[in-house]
Amino acid sequence: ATMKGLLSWVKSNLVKERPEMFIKDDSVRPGVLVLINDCDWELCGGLDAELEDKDVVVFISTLHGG
Amino acid sequence: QICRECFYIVFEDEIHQTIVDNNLFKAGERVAIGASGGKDSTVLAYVLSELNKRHKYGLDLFLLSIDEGITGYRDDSLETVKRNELQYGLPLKIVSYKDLYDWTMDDIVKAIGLKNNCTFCGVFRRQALDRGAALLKVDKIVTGHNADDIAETVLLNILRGDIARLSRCTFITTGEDGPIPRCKPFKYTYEKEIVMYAYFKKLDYFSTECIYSPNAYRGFAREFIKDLERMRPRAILDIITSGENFRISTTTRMPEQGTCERCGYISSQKLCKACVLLDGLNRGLPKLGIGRTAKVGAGADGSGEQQGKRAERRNRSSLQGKHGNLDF
Repeated sequence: ATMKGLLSWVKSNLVKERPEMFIKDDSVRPGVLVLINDCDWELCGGLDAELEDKDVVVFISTLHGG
Repeated sequence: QICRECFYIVFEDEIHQTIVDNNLFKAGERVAIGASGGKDSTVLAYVLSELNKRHKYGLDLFLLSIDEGITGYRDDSLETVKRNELQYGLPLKIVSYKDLYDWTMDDIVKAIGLKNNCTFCGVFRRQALDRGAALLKVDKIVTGHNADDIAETVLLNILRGDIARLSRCTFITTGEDGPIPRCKPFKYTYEKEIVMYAYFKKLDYFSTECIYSPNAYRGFAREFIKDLERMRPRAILDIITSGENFRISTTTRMPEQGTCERCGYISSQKLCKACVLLDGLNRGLPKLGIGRTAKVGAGADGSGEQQGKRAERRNRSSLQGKHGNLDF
C-alpha cells in the first residue's frame, strides 16, 4: 500500500464533511502536514511512500489562526 | 534531514539569532506576548520564555489576549490561553471588544453581514492590543506573525495597490515612533516548522479557523502561497526579501502620520480607522470606512482616499453613539 492509496481510502471512508479541507486533486491540500512514524513524508517519498503494517500516519492541519 | 532533537535546537537557535541580529529586545524590558491560544502565539510564548531564561534576555514577559466576542471560536481559544498562563507561568491579561467598543464581533457580523468583518476585527484588535499593553505598562508587544503571514501580506498589499503598507509590512519592528513598538520574532520562521515544533513538543494550542474567516480576501493570498510553497518552498522567504527591497518612487504621495482627533490614536487621517468604523456601526452605516470612494492612479492611495474622506467629513459634524473606553 502507498500513501496515495491511503489518501484515497481516507477520503472515501473517513472524511464526513468538507473534503476540500483535506484533499486537493490527488494529494493532501497544501497546508496539511503529513507524518509517517513521526517523519515528514516529504523525506519518505511523499505520495509514493510505501506503507507497512503498524505504521502510524498523522495529518496535521495548519489552516487556522495562529 | 535532521532528527527531532536537532530540529528543536535549530528551530530555537534560529529564532534566538533573529532576536539578536535585529536587536529586538533590551534587558529589563516588560514585553506583552499577543496570545490567542493559536499555534503561533502559543509556540511564541513557549520559545520566548525558554530563550529568555537560557540566554538571559532579562525580560519580564506577559500574555495579552484579546476577546473579540466570537462565540464558538474565541471563547474556546481563550480557555487555551488560560491554560498557557499556568503551563508557562506567564501572567495573563484579557481585553475585550465589549469593554473597549461596546460591540462584539458577533454583534458586528449581525449588523454588517459576512463581508468585510475581518477589516473591523483587524483594526479593532490592533488598537485593543495597544490598549492592553498600556494597561500592563509594557515597553513592547510581540506577535506570532510567521514567514507565511508576512509573505501573504506582501502579496495582499500588491494586489490592493496599498503602497504605504507595502513599504512597511516587512519591517520586523514597527511602531517605534508610536506609544508601544511591536516586533515579530517569527518573521523568518515557516508556519510548517512552528506546527511541527508544537506537535513534537506536545504544546497545547487551539486549532480551529475563525467561523467568519472563509470570506476573507487573505484566504486567496494564502491559498496561492501554499501552492507556491509546495513547488518551491523557498518562495516564501524570497517574497519577503522582495518586499524588504521594494523602494517607493519619490513621486508617490504617501500619507502623513498624525493622531486621531477623537481618541488620540496614531492615524494618517483626521479620524483613525477604528473611530470611523465604530461611528459607522453606531449610525447603522456598515460601509463607512470600507473600501475607497475614488478610483486611484499609481501611488495616489493617499490623495484618493483623502479626497473621499474629505467629502465624508463635510457631511458629518460629530461622532455619534458609544465609543467605549478608547482614549489614548
